[in-house]
Amino acid sequence: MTRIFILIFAFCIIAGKNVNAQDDWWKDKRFKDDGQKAKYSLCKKTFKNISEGFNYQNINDINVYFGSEVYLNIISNERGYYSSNQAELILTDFMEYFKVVSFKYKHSYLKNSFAFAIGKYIYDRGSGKRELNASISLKYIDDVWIIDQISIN
Amino acid sequence: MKIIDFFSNRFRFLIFIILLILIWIGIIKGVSYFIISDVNDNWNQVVIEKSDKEKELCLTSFTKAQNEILNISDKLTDNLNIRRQVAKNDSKRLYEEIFKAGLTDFTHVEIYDKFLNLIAFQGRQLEPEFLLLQKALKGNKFSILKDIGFNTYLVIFSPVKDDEDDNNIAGVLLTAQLVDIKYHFLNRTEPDITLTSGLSKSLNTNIELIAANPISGFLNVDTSLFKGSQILHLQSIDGKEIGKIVLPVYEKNYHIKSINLYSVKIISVLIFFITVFIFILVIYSLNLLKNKALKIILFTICIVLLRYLWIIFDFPSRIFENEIFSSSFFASSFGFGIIRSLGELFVTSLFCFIFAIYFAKISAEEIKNIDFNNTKLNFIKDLFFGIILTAIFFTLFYVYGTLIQSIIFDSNIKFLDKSNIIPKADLFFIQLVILLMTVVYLVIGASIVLLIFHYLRGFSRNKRLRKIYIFIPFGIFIIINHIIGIYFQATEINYYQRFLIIVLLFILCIYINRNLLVKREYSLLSLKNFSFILFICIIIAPLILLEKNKSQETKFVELFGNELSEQEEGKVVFLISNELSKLSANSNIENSFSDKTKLSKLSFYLWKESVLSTENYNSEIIILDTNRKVLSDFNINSAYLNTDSVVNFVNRGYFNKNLNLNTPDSETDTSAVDMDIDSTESGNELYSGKDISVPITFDNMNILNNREGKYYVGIETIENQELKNTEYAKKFGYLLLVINSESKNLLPNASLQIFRSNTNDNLSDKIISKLVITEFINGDVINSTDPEISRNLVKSLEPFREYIQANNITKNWRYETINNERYKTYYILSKTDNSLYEPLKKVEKIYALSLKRNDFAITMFYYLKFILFTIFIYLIFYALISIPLIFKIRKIQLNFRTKLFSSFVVVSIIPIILLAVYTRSYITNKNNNNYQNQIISDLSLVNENLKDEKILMNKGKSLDTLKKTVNEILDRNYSKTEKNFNFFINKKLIATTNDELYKSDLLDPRIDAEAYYNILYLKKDIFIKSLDIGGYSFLVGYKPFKDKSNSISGIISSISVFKQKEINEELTETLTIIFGSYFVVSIILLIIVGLITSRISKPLLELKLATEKLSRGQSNIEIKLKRNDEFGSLVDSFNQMTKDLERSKIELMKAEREATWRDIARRVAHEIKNPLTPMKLSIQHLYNLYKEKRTDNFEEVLGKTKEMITNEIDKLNHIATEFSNFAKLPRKNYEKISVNTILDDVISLYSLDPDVEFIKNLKSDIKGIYGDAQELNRAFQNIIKNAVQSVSKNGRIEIKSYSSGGFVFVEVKDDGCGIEPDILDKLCEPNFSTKSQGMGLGLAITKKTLDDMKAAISFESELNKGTTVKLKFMAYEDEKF
Repeated sequence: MTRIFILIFAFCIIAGKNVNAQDDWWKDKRFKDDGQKAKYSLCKKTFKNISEGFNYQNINDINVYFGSEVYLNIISNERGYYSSNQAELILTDFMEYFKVVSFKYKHSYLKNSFAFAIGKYIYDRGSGKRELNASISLKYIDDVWIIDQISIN
Repeated sequence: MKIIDFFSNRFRFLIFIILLILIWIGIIKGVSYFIISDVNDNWNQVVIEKSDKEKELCLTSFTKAQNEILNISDKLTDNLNIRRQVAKNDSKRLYEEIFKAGLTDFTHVEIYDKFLNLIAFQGRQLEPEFLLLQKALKGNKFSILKDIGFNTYLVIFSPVKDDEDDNNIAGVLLTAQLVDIKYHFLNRTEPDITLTSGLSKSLNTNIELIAANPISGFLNVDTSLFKGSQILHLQSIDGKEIGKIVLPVYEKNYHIKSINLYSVKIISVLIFFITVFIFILVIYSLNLLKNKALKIILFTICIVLLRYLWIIFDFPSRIFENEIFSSSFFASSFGFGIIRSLGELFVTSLFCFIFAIYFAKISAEEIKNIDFNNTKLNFIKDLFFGIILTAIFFTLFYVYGTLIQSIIFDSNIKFLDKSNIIPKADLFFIQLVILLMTVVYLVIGASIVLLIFHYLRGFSRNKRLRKIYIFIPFGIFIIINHIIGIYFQATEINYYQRFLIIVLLFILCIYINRNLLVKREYSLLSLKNFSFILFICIIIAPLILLEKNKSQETKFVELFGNELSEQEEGKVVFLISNELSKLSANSNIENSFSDKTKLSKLSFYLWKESVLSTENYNSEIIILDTNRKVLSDFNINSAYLNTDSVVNFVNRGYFNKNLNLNTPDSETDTSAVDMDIDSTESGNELYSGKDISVPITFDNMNILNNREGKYYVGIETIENQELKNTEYAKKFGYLLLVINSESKNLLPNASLQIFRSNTNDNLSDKIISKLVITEFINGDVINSTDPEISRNLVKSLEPFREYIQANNITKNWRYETINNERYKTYYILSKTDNSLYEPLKKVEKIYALSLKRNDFAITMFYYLKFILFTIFIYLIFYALISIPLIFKIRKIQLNFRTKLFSSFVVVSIIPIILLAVYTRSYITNKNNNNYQNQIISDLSLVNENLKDEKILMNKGKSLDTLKKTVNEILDRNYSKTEKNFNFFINKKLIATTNDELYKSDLLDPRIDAEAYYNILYLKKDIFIKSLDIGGYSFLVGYKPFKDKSNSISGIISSISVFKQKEINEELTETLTIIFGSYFVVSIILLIIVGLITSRISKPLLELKLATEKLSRGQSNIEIKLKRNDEFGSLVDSFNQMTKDLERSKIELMKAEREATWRDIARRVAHEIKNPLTPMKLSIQHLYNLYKEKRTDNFEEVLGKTKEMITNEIDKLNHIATEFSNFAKLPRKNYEKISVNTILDDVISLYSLDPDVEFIKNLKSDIKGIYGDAQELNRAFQNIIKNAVQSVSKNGRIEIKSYSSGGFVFVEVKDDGCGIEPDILDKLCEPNFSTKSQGMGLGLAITKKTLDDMKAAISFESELNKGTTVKLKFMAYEDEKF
């Protein structure tokens, strides 16, 4: 019984640590204004969903945040504004080619209606893990955060 | 039975082939699986083999490159003239000899004399080490790899011997070629030709080339680079190691992938063949169906399935691994991938094209299947089809419009590409797709309209509606279009475009319908109709494209405006932090610190490697040493960012304040997440200087904002990578990344074109018109791309202010007329109110983005370029369909109209083409002359300016002072102008207005050899040559700078580097307008020429047809053509002639008829008289006996008389019957008959004759003939009866029948008495007979019967031997009868 408790306790610590580790890139703040609070937490949620999209190679988690035009700067592809249709296919091709091992943010920045997060995209093409710098910027338009730019190099 | 036969042949064969391919696919899969499992088992062996091959390839390529340079070097050192000039130290002659050698632009040569002074050169400076030159001077020949900046050259040092004494070394020759370049700049040609790029491409990996120190042989490189890689040692020509190639280890996954890819490629090709066979199979199967609607539905299903089969097996994207199959040009998620890339869209459009052809073919079958004499209007059925087709027609508008919209909205293609008159691959394909889809749409649309005409054909029976019934659907279509216009305003194709398409389609369809009704010809896809369809394409496609582009353009101008006006802080911080985190991991920074040649170029290298080179910001990279002294800097635009002020600012704001922001403690002060609304206190707390705001820190980097200078600086410490974050951390210096946040690099004077065009912002690509950007601060124009227009916009600011106050918004479109031209301008108020920095709070910044409305030049260019493209495609298409004609060239006989048309075309178009070519060369020359004159005047001006400044007055000035003085003068006078000036003293650059050209390695800081030779040795006052920089060609002018004593003390140069892109675009625009207009004129000319030739040749063609009719015996011909020219007279004369001929013919026939009747009457009278005389005599004799009452033998005489009279009456009856048979024209019953059957019947009638032996030789496989069976039976009876009558006892008659060459032959041969030769020709004449009893009508009737059946009869006879009668019938063929 004691062992079980110890195991549960150890698990909680490890899990808690992981949760905290995952959010190192984001610093939570307190707001009096509910609107600001919602905007702030929505931004975090958006970043998290996008990172899940990369982690699970699921473009549908990412493309919901595309506006009509997205600025892409993806390795081996041209840089510039792409329509959401194009951006979706370009990112799908990219994720197909650079099989993701993990996608993690390192730090983030938020000011008014603009936010960005910088992280690492670790991939494996059969010759060991390699990493790319990944950065995503968001814009707050009409009460939603949409992707302004994705840069993976 | 037929279907079964059909299946047993073609179907079985096709299915067999398909199965065979499927088995093949299975085998390939199996083999690839076997190979992969074998690779897995024996990977070590595979990797050794592959690595050996790769190594061998690398080393062979290097040796080959080295030998190539060695050959050039040997050629030069063996040249006696060069040896002589080196010994004599005659630079002038030496240059001449080097130029004579004809070295390429990629070969660099330097020649040193025996005192190691540079006496001649060509190409880039190689900066050789003194020790190495000395070594070569001792007679050693060797090679080295040398890094100059981030370029690596392979240099061969060769001693140059005296021309007279081989043992005496007169100098040293260096020959070099570029083998590696660490960054790719624009579309420079060098990277593609370097050794490493070639090897990387062929081995599909990244190859690193590391040069050893030329003197020590030591390799200054990070050892971590060697992990997991193969190292190849590169040897010089004297066997020493001069560098290494780092080759990544051959990867198993890559190997397996390449095997898989190979098998997938083969399979996708096989899938292509399968689809082709399935397609043929489907076409055959559909031909068996009768229901045309079902045919089209099944064909559609088949074509969709085949398309998806291609998608599943990645055909043809796997075969042609071209970038047009990537999503970067165009991508749409529509249709599960059928248009996922430009290449797939093209393939889909080809499938659509095939469908359109099939649809047109099936509809043609339906339309052709018409009974002109029995057209009834089945009201309900036809109405139903009419409604369905109309609905399809208008649905197609929607589909076509959506597709065009998707092509524009989901693509990154620059539709208005002015860089080249020949479109790039992406633009070429997208235009081809648009053309194909428009053709598809028009072919299907035209087929639908023609089908509607077909279903309404019942109206043509009504006299009133006959001429106007085709306008009923036209009216209905126009009304529907109008209704759509009212109720669905946001449609993909607007009202006027739909109206135009409907009108043009109906014109085409009415023309085709007329041909069907008048000429009974139907061909929607004839060359003429296809040309007309393309003609419609060049009217509507650019119209729709332009409209779509314009609406997209409006959207992008708004986006552009928003980008400009938005507070840049977030974006700039994002960019800096992103790039700093990337650059901090770059090992080249640390390595470059020990290499001076690299260090000076390091800033440019980092700038080029970073995203800054593709962003529209004014940016700079500065490298500082630990004492904060600038080691290297690269600035895109010195007008906005000044290195000294940035370094001063960083010193004040970062170093002197000793804000040690790198320590982990600082995180509490400067939060990673800084929300303005919530964190103003912390911001105020840290805000301590008037120009420095809150520093932002992430990990090791710090970002400062200079409010006054309007820029952000990112600061990163450069440390030893391995010792980073340890107590032994070693600092090398600092990396500063500066971005100007306020002024984007979009306005004129922003930077050199060559760097500006390096940006890749496709926003500006999508804006097709010239965008005028104006920046207003407090109502004053601060920046503008067109000051004249911007000045006129000031008056609109007040209404804009009122508008934004009234509506509480910050942006608005306004329309205004400037210089009699209409503009629409997007005004946007920049959000600067939140600024913490007080002075900025009072600033009202407005951006205005103006576009010309209805820009005629743009529209014209757009149209003409599309016309040129369509003509190009049409010519290719025409050439393709003309290929079969080449093989029949000898058989081609051009008719009069074609000859006349060709002559007109040659006479009218050739001068136009010549004129166009001349104009092109004239414009090019004129432009070149203009630039040359401009450069000459600029150089003269700067020459005078420098002279006035008396910079060289004091000869004792040091080079450094001189450098500073000239730089100051150039900076002061020319840095704000769009001019480039460079000043060289003693071959070397000492001052320039454009540092970035030299810092970026685009230009060599040593003067061009040719210019140096021309100015210094040939004493030319001006020298101009063209130069290729970064893919652009420029003109460079050189002018000597002379001192008081008129000796050359320096050389000034000027490069036409500014606005090169605009110049090229202008040239393309002019050429497009010239060629396009010429082609439009040519098309109009061709149409006019076509009409003229048709008008000229029409009477001739009609005369030809009439003459043909005349020759066939038809004489009542009248050509209805009224003309007042020579052709009119000719037609009148012809008509008169035919009238006279007709009259003569009637008279002749009358005369003939009378003569015939007279002849017949005479003959009948004669024939009748003959029996009458004996009858008369007999009756008289009988009467005499009765009168004399001689009764003894009266009864006997009466009996005889009765018998005689009866006989004579029988004869008379016979004569009457014969004439009656000759004259009568029984109704003929023509049908396909078998000659053998009739011959059998006739022979059986005569075969009972015991005296004659019949020999039948009838071929069973003969073809049938077309004729009347009874008449032919009589004809054969006549012939065979004659043969029987001609033979004596035991005679033989042989009857043969056979087929040959479309004819059926019958021969009747007897061994009778034969016919005399002189009567052979008269045999078929009526009333000719050799028999005492014959009337002479038998063969005449036979001849007439055969003539009616278009058969021929001939006789061959020899007296007493026999006669052969030959009959020749035309064989029965469906088409002919």
